[in-house]
Amino acid sequence: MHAPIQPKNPPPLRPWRALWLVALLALVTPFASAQGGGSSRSTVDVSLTSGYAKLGEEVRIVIRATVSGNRELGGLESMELPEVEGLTFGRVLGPSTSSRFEMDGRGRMVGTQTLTYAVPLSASRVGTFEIPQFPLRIDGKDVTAPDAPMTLKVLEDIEGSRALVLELEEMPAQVFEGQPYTFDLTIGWSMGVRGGSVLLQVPWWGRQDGVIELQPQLTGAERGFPIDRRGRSELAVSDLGVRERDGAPYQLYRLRRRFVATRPGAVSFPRTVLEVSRGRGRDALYQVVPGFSIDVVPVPEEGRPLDWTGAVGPVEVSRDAQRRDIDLGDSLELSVRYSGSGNLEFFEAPKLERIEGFERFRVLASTDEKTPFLRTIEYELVPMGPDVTEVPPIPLSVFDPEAGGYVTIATEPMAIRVNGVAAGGEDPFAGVGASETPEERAPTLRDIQPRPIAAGPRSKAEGPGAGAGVVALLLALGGWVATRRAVRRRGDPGGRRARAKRGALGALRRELRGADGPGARALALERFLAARTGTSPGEWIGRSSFEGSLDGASAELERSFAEVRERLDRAAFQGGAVAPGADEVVALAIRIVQEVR
Amino acid sequence: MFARITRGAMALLFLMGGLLLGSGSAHAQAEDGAGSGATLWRTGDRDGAVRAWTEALAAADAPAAERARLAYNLGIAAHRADDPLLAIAWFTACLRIDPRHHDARANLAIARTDAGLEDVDGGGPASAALGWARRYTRSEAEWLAVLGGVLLLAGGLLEAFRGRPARIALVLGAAVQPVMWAPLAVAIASDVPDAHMVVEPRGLLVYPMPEPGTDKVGKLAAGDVVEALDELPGWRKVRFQGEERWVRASGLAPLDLDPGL
Repeated sequence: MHAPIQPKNPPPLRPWRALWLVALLALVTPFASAQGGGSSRSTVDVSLTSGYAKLGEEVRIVIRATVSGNRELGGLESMELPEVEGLTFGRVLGPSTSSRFEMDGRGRMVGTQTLTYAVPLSASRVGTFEIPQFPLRIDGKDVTAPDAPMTLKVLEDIEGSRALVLELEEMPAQVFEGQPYTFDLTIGWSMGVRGGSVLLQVPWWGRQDGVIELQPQLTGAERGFPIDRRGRSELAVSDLGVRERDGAPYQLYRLRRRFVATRPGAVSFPRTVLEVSRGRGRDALYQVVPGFSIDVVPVPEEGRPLDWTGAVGPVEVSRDAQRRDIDLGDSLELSVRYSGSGNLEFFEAPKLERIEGFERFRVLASTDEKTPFLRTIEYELVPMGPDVTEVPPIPLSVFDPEAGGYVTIATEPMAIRVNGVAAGGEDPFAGVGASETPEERAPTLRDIQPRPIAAGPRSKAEGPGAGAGVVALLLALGGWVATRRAVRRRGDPGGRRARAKRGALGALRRELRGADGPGARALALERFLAARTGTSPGEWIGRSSFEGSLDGASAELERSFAEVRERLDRAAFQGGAVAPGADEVVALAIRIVQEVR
Repeated sequence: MFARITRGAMALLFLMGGLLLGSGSAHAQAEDGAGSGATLWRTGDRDGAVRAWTEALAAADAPAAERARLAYNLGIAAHRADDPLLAIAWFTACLRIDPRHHDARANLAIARTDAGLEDVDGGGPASAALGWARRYTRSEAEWLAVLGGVLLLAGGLLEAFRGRPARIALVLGAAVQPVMWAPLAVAIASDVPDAHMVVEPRGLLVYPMPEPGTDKVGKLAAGDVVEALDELPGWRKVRFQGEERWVRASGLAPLDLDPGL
């Protein structure tokens, strides 16, 4: 039996949906109650969409649960599909939900709710298949369905096999881990097939664990071939044009991809189906490539060289250089090309520093370009002396799948000429290989600064002199002492009275913000004057002149004060008069602060 | 060894000549020489690079920052030539112009280690504070001291006019004085006019007269910095233990590259 299938749970109800449901139930309940029963039983029906199918055609098992009444129908909780040789079951689809209400013969409203699930199945061969009953749990109860085994008869699509082309080049039954293999499929149809649409069913595509698709080499002239019914996914195929087969013209395409299996095991390829629908009223045509699998075996340990870095053949190598006659100190660009159907992208590039014969070269840089069919590695080499006469062979250990063993391929040695520099007489890289050079002994020494600095002052900036600092210090001390003494003659600036005097204007502003009448403003002004003069606020009640309290006040200031005072008092005690606003009071206070220090 | 001494003597000669005879018309040539020095260095011609940088340094109107750069490059060249003492002299000269030249300070530490001298900016809070104070030029240190006086005056005036509540300003003004004066104090303490450094690994014998036959009166160790007072061919008068003495000129390297000095 298949493992139990656990369908998705219905999503939880959101609050507003719950409200709608309650409202709907409230609407329906009277009718349902009138029916005379709140309890109702569900029925389960299981069937095939068709008892006959062409090979390649999709058939579905339909599971339909229905309940009448006012209760919510529970979903499919589990199901154990049977194992039938030659049939493959897909994922459970659904549910789709439908509800309807109708009047019964006595005029009462009757509700019916239906949940429908579908299980696609496909046959790998022609023949008659019997699908036995299987257990499932739905709407909270266990049932065995259908009532009797179902029979599916799969027939060969004779017309489809004649009109359609789906040919797969021979695939290897076994590959080694890391060995590329090619999936080469020819797709086509007779030019006599009219209308409709095409679909290539490759359900395994992109779903094989441990398999990497090598980057295809596309020309840009490929056509997108649909691989799902909704047209969301396509595969690029080469258009081979119209070609004659058995005396008839066929439109042909080619799907060619290379893959690499990265771990041992079996790589499964379920059947591949080409489906061409021909429009309304006519059956679709099918052509099928049966499913198969490839065994992936590990690369043997026995005889594996220590320097093998993952190359699996067949691989061929060549080398080239643009210049072979260079001066000492010049670099040589050596190009090494690996080609063939091996896994060119999946092995490490040879490290020249570790290869015998390259001690007399300095490798400045290397680049590595990879494609599935060609890998090019460019090395920038600097021969370290005029006595270097050739670029040594560059070996690479490769596993040969055909021979089942390891081989070493190598570039041909390449003769070069290095011209010594007569004038310098010194090897610019003489110190590179030596261990006693200062460079290696002090590797953290920071490098030279190559850019000249043209801007800036010529000489160091002149300061004011050390004496200026001393003078500044003495002036600061002297200034502080003298100022302090002068200020203290008028009293302690940190005393309560002095602080109140300094803060009088601010306090007045704050008080006036909260004062909502002429009386409050008059009181605030009295407090201000008391703070400024060091007297008590009571002394200013009713006063309209400064009289010996504020020496130095001008006559005009006295008049202004008297006027503001009088207007405030009149507004406060007699009413009707326009009282001075807060701004006017503050303006007066500012004049007092400015004139009478 | 002989070649190294010759190279060093040549570099010193060019340097001294440049300092004494600097000409205003040499600016463009100095730029070319400085630029080509880097090219020569990159191509492996180190002697050529040293010559180019030395010639550029001899240009009296090269900006101070450029002289610091050239001294820095010459320090690296000296270090590459396995002469860490001369490298120390160049890096120190660079830092006397530009005390915040971080690469020069880093390389100076390496060169001092290679020469067997202790690192001037060793570990510990005191060394860190000293290192911070050394990162200012003399003129910057003087301005910092003046700023210290201004801050103290500001704090004092605040206290004088506001009394006890503003006393904290006076305290703060006084508290920052050590910070403001430290760079100037360090600059004054380490100030040696016309400073020269001993770059001879075995040190320099000190004579009372510029004659090799006279009895030596002492010895300067490698890395010592002395004030140069006068010079004669092959000899240089220095201040040694408060007295005017003579040493071999070939073992000294100047640390002041400012043409104004």
